[in-house]
Amino acid sequence: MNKAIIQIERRVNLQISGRFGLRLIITAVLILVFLLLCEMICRSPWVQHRIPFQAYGSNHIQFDYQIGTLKAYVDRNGAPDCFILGTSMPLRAINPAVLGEAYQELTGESLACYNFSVVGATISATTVFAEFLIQHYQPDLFIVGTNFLDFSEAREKADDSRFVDNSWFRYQLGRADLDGWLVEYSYAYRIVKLLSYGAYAGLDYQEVRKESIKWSEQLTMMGYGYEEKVYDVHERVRLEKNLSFLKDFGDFSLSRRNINGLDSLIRLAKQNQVQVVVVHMPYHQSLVEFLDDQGKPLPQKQSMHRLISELDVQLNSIALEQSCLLWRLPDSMQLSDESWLDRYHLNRTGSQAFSRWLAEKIASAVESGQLHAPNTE
Amino acid sequence: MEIYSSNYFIFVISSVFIFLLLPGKFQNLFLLLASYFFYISWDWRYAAALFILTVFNYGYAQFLEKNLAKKNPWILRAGVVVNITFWLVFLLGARAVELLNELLSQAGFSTIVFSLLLPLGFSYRVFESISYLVDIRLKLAKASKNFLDYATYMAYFPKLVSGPLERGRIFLPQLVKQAVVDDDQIKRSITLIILGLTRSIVLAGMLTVLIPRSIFIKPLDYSSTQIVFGLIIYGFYLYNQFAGYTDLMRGISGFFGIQLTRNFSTPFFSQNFSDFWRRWHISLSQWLRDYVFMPLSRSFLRRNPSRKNIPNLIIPPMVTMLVSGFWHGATLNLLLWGAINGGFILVENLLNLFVSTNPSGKVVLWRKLLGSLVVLSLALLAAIPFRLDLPTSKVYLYGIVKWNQWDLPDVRPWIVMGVSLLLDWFQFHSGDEFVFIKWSGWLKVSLVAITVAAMMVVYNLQLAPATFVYP
Repeated sequence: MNKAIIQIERRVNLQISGRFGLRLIITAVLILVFLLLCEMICRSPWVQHRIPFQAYGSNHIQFDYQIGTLKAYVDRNGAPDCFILGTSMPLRAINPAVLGEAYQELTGESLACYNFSVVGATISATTVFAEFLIQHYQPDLFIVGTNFLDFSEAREKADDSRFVDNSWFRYQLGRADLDGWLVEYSYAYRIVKLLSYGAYAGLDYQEVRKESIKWSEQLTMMGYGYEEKVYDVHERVRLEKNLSFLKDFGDFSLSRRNINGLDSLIRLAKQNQVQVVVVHMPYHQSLVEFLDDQGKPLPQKQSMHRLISELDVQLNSIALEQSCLLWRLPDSMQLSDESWLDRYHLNRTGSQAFSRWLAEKIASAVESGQLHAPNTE
Repeated sequence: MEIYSSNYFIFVISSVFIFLLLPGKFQNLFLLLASYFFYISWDWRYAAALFILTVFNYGYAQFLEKNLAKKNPWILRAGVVVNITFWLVFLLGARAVELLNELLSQAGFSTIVFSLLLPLGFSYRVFESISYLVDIRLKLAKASKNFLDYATYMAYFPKLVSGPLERGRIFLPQLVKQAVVDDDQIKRSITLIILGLTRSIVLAGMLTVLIPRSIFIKPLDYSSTQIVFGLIIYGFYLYNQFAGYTDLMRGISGFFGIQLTRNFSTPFFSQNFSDFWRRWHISLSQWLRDYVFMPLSRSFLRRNPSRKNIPNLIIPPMVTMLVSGFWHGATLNLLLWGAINGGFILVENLLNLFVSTNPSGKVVLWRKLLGSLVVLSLALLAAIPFRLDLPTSKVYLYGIVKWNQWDLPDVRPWIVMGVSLLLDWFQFHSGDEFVFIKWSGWLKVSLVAITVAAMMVVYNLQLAPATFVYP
């Protein structure tokens, strides 16, 4: 009979023998050793070379690439002066390398930007990204690229939980989160997260692999989404496509959630001494023609144009109220037909022109005193 | 507070530690407070409903005991009716408010803004209350004189959400008895917890991931082979999920010195339907046997004690299974599920009249296997209306019957189901639920370590959002 080492007189008493207690401790230690061994194996170059990207639990591969690329960028160059925020439109339209080069040509000063645009993210979710970027990299400038596409009914209802409730983000923002902590520090746990990405398709990783290959090829080391393809802007948009596009806008009211999101993003930036420039993202005119197959305008066209005008008023009012800059590509500066990847995304050619224009705007704003030079400490 | 969450883990660990450190007279009070804290974390109204039910049954049990000498059966019936009414108000309330709102809006009146929602685990509490009152009336138990103990029995958090359904006469004495959480108890508890987590998180979780995603929404999008395999996977999922959950709760409960009823005992090795219901959701099956089947059967046998009393062979099993269906939810598909299962037992009873049993009681292996296979197949077929509403059940069944094509099944769910059967086999073969305790130390440590890692993986598999694909 083993002698009890813990004996407490209660209605329900705990009586653990020394030998059994020791066994429990040894078991716990062995399990810990096993987990540490797993971690060591996962950290080995042999395993890491086979991991396409580090997964942060969002199941949004471009976002995961974006985080990984940003970390690598900061390790190489230090924190950037400015971040570009928004959806796939600024991701495709603003090339930080071109922007920096043009800015240097114009001012003789350097401008290090990183494009942290995330495809499919709403402006409302972008606020979370902004909060993270401010806390970790203290930038001087945010360039927020947006247009009416970010304020549709579909964007109002879009589920952002993959970002907003992401445990890694919660941990990064200083909240206690065991899952987020594990994602940050454990290579093995990030592999577990990567494995989870195939769960929705019954552990089929084809889609994950496809997306991974695409972003590994397209995302530059400054976060820009590079694409050469040219869209035929003269191609007639079929009625079916127009109607499906219009469906996203529901009753053509502006997404309050995203208007408020933009407002909070600017407010947050201002509170943290980060300057903000809101940039109207360009789209091809054929996007808002809304013609039926006979070439006649659809009845929804007017409602859509009203929404676009309403958004302009709202953006102007936010910019005025929060004294931030709001820029739009002037009509005089038309983007060539070869600039488009599709009707609202620019390709490499388009992004070069757009990024140069943006650099000029920043340079002239710095010169006129509307902006402080982003690269000064 | 979700069961499979870090919050629940912290809650359980801290509850066990505080409980074991407290002086004896405060231990039950602590269990009660912790249980209400847990229930309130879901919704305070659930706790309010439970408290009302507890106060009523505690008071009514005293009244019932004082009037035991009186022969009037309505003294008991009134208590049972109040319990059932209370349950039905919640069970049918939500649908009733919905219907009333439809009528009101059609008539141009403003609609009712509140709705009734069945508190979590309330069906268990009502059945426990009924058995408590019946047992007192039958002098099988004494009414608890201590409100605190009775309230703890009703609210005890390890059985609060999904059982097991505990009898007061078994549970309440444990609250006053001295108990020791010693090496053996800890071994049993840890075994149950590991087994529970393996079943509910690893095995059931893997099956959730591997089952074709919309097979229960649009069955006809899948081949007949997939529809059949989908049903088999669902059966194993349901078993592992529920059996795992109960094992986990039993393991936790052991640390509070309270033994909860075993709820599943290798049901897929059943030889016939009566055997199946002795092994599946045992606490509910036994409750239904004792408080529905037996009284009904006794009343039929009183009139005609013959073995071939046909109404007795038909009505009690059918009514029992219909009550079981209704208990699971007041919907037509669940009633149908009950009726089908009642039908199976009925057919089995009738067959037993004509088929002579082997007097030695020995059954050859192939017959055992065949028996298990038939029972499992029919139980799975009956599970279609358990899982789906009636129109979708019809479509699902049509998908099987029309049999459009054979295709190779995905082998991965079969591996998971194989592991599930293997765990069952160890228990079934040894006749010992805790057979794993006897395994060698190194094997146990290795398996626990693998389980911990597998839990991390599968838990994440289940939580992952859908893959975002850039259009």
